Amino acid sequence: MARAENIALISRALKDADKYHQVPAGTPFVPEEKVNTSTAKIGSQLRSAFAARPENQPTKKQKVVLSDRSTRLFPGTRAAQKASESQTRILPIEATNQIIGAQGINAIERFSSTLSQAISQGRRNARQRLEDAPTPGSIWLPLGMLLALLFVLIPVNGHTRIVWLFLTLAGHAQIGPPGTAGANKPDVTNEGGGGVGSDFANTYYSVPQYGGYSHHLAEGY
Amino acid sequence: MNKYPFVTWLSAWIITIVGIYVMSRSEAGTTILYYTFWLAVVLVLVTHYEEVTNILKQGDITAGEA
Repeated sequence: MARAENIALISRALKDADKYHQVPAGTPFVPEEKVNTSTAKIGSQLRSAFAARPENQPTKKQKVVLSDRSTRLFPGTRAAQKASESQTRILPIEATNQIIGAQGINAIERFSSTLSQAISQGRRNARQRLEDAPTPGSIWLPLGMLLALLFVLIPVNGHTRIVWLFLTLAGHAQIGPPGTAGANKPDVTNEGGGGVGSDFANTYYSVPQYGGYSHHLAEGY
Repeated sequence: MNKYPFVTWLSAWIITIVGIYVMSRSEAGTTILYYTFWLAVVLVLVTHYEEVTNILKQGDITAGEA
């Protein structure tokens, strides 16, 4: 963590030095007095200070990774030279494993990237096709037909749903307690009697004995 | 056995209506709804062929025989 922070600070200092030809105050590894020299000199000082710090020396396990980064960031420094030497001492089998591992990771990354791109492209295509599909008559045409069929044309327990709704609102039928569905069929003859039916298992409709819809029919209403 | 049939019934309707509303907000969703409704019309006509044709042909509803 400290190493990463150091690198970030040095990078920032170099960038600022490029701009203003001076190192901003508070930058580590720089003498207390103000430095007003060329950018190259500042960079050299910073690199030397960085390489000299013991915590920036790579451990045995980090040698390969750090040496690569150090060589890239600070070529020519002692750390880079040591890292380069350590790289040459890596056993062939370790190097092979590292290469294979890196290639495997790259392959997985490439595969996941390709897969996600293919999925998003497929979604875009599907959406575009759906948007381009014609919908003549708008959505209200099939919806209206469905409502007409279900409410007006198809009877349930003797009446269509709209008739049952009318009967219920007019007080000639009522929704009873659950569990009594289908006990009787509605009676629309002139004989009176109650009728019970159901659309769902928990709902039943009851036509009362007196004043029911059958009575209205019989009376010629 | 469902102990709360009304809650189930109401929840199903709410989910259906909200789902339809959300789908109808986009053009692709509207297209899906459009063809789903047509499919439902066809299914209703197939499964209730007799009732519909009787009503359309005879014009009367014989209660109690449904």
